[in-house]
Amino acid sequence: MSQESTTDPQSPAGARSEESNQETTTDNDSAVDAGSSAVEPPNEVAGNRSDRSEIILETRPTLKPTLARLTAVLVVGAALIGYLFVTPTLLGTTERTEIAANLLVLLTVVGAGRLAFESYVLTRTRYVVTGESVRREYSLLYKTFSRELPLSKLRSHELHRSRIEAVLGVGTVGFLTGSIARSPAHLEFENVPHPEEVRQQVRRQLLDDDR
Amino acid sequence: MGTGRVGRTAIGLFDAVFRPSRFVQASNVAGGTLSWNSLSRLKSLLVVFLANVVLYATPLTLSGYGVAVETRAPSWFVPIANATLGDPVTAWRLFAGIAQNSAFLIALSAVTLLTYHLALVATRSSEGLLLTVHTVVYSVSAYLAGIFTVLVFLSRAPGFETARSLVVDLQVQFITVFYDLFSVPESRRVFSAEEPVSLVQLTSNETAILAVLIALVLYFVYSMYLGARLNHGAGVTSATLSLLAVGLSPAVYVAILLVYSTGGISL
Repeated sequence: MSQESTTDPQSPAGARSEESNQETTTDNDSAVDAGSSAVEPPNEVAGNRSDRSEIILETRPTLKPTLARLTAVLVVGAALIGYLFVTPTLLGTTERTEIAANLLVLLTVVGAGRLAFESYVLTRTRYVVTGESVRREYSLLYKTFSRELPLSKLRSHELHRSRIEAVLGVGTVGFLTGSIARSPAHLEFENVPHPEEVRQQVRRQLLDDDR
Repeated sequence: MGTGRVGRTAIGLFDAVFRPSRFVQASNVAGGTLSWNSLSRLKSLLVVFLANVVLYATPLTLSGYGVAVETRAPSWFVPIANATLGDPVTAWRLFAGIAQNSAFLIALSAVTLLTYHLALVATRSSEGLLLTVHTVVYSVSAYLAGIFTVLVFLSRAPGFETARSLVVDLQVQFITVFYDLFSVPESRRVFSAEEPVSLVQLTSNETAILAVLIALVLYFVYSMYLGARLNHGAGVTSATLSLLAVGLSPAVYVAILLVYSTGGISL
């Protein structure tokens, strides 16, 4: 079971707004400092409340859950493929078992490739909370992608943790706008260490906005 | 966005293989209401679908597959072809071949769309036809077209005779079920089941291509499941029922063809 909790900080039920998040892409890599460690606790920066765009919290995702899944895929895949090869008549005929083994090789390669790519993107990702927005940004192949959600449009935020994430003490914080788009969470801070601290900071900002 | 057409195509291919959920997910699509925005979105989806169908059918036609159209170019086509394309006879054969090679994919897509959406409506999970169209267009364009491409490859490539016989045998067995169901007399059956194909003769290349074929089928099924879950917000049960409906699509398709070809209905 994954753990999940949702907070609706602002909006009455049913309130809907047009999609408000912004996504930008630039060809420069300069906006992201990708050189530092991918596994580090949130770095809280004392902020001047008057400067709404100042960074209040900046953190990076941890690779641990993704690497754990990658290891699991490789180990399970290799074990199943190995088992099929040592028992070639497991599915009736050698050829049928060979087809199954080929299929498993294919699926293991795809699964491992996906997780390896995901790990690489996570090493290039950072999450930022400012006085006026939450932002996820990463750089890839000399391009920088930035997705930002203004706090004023935030309808709720949620925390969910898979079993692996719970064991590793990390979680995924989702920010929802309740807009017309189909995806429920428009912005996610994936595999973030100390997710409660992130939510606490956002909650604090929203309370400040209400005052 | 700074990503060009080539970049988007590359990302689309990457997503189709490694991130089917992202590939099939409809973002910024409102399903429930009919508006100019949704009509515009529908138009875009149809363009995507037709472009993919043409991309699928053109190489087949150019390689000579399915070009058996002997009809002459119609009179209205000749001046247009003369002015823009050159030889009207060759151009007509090309267009007719593309149409012929696309027909099966388009027909099966239409039946899939119908059964899939009806299942979603019946399970009260539908969030609108547009979202179903999105799911079917993307799933069919990538995975079903991939399945057909592998089948076409198998039907022509030397060294794959056993795999080819195996796939044909499976299809004949499937159609035979409907022959029996509709009590089609032996004399009117186009296909007849023969001796089962022995798997022992399969080569390593053949087992590899059959594994790719099965993987594509799994991708197609999974993408339809994801479409129901992500785009319509369906539960596991509703999404599974929708999949069963998709599984019925070939059955519905074959049944319609049989009823039509045996004179059960006349159009």
